Amino acid sequence: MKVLVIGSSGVVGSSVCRVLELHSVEYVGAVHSAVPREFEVKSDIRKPCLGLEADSLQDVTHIVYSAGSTRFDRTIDHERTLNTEPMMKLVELAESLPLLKKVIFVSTVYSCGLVSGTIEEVRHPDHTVEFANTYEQSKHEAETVLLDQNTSYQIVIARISTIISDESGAVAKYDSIHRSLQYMYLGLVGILPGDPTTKVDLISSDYAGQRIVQLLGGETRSIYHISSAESALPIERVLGIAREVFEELEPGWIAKGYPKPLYARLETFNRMGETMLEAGNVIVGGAYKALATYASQLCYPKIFDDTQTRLLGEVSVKDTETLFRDMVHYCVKRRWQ
Amino acid sequence: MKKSLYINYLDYSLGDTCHDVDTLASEGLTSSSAEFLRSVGFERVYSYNEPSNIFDSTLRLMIAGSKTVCPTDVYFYSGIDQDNSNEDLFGKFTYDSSRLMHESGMNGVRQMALHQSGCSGPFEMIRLALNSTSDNSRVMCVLSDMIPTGEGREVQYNLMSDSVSVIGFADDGWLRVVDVHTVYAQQFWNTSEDIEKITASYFTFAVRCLSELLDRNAMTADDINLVIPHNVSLRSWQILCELTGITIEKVYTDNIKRLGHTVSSDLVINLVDAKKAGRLQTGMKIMAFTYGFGSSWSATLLEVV
Repeated sequence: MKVLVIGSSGVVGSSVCRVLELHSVEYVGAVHSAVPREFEVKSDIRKPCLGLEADSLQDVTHIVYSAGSTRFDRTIDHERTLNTEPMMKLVELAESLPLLKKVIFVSTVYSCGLVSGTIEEVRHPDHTVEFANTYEQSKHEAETVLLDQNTSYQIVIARISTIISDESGAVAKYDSIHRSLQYMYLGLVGILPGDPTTKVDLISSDYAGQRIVQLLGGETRSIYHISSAESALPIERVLGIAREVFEELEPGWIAKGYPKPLYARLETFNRMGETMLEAGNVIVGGAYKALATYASQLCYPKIFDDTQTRLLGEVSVKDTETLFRDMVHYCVKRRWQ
Repeated sequence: MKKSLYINYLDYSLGDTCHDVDTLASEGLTSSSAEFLRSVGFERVYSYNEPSNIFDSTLRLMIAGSKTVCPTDVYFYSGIDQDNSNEDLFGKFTYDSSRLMHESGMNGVRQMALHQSGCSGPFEMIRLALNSTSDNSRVMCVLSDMIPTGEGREVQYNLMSDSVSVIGFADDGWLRVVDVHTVYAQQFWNTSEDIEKITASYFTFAVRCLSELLDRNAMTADDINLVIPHNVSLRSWQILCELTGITIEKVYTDNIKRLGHTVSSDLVINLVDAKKAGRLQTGMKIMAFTYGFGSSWSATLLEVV
């Protein structure tokens, strides 16, 4: 087995590489950065064959594709350029690799869009749904492109949940989730959309990496959810843990008297936030912006069923509560720097 | 504690000069644009040109009120004192509240001045009248606020007017005070430093205050016939209504556009104008609400009798 990991410098890709190394699996990483390191080649997902020299990859048997954009705040055209359109270039590359057996495309569990209930590990309906952001939409479209292909190799969609840190709690790159926590720490989050019992699905990058490597072996189905599923925590508990850690690391934080956020309809949340932005308030408005990119999903409670993923075998990771607690520790201790 | 408390007199006066939002913005007296302020419900405000004007206005209202709240047993005063920073020590101990009592002919009446409750001033007075005066006491509350001449007229996205108001309490009143409730959050005492935290948590405390008041009176938002607001932005009332289940139509919002927010006279101004507009009917349950820097969120339940 030789694995080509496209997007190997990203949070998921680098975790996959670590697991492959641990299992002594031969791999080559493809990165967008100017100067590739050892075991890396340079790629550009906007170019034919993703900017890769197929001739030098003839011995590749598996591809893990974890490249693309994870920004929530760009236009759909921009996200399509980075998330949807590269799919045909991926297929083009794959077809020029004679030994290829499997392509694993790293997607998101939120490719289902704004729907509630149990999300099964199956192809999403093609009919139009709304999405919380252009990232979700472009990933949904990318899945559709791949699942429509009739190929000699297997295509597997690995839908991953929200990665908050690695197993130690360390954060490689602060994103909207971490910034939201920071705003909460500063007492600047007053209203949240949704319901306190809504579950938020959080995982570690290590868990994602281990599951993706499991998917490389043998015959598999075409869609998997790498999620915390039934172990997902209600948002009220998540915020409660954050408050506990704030107080633990900064005794007296609770005494500052920042109230627990109020839960409201999305329209009300947006009205408050947009008014702040309209007024030019970059502080309260900034907190709103960090939340707004994924806020609407909080109004669509759902469980990402992972029955098929669990059948792949046991993976030893922390429980979600401990993982989240460790991540908050990391953020507070480093002051989100 | 009194068995019951009734409002029998309400009156107010606005600053003598009217300014529209465009003029204020063009003169640099707002921090937001005129367009934004208009979009959240403001149109014009009133100001006093001189501190002596608001003093005279206050005195006139007190003299008029004292004919109805007569004889006055207790007097509560809340107002921004005229600048006495250049006075000698005795000058600093020279109080507007006493001078107003003297010049309105109410020498000898028990008095108390509350200067640091911000917009919650009238609600604190109602609580004091309810809890600290004996039955049959006639109580006069005077509220007098003026932003110093030339200073900005926008406070955290709200346009401000200068005003004076008087509330009288006596047993022959027409508006019964059912209850008054305040949620205090003195952790936000430093308004300059904490203003954004206050903004972020404003609705959380507001909802708590209103919910607790309704709960302890075994009522729901549906039982309220009319809401008397503080005249902060219409947008903020839309949000608060959505959070509490109060329909915006129940909120008397006419004065937000007409005069904006006053520090502590909104309650009186809105009750007077709602009554004139025929919005108050016998048997109605009214809920009034305000926020005061300091910080406190206050609400009172009233019943038209």
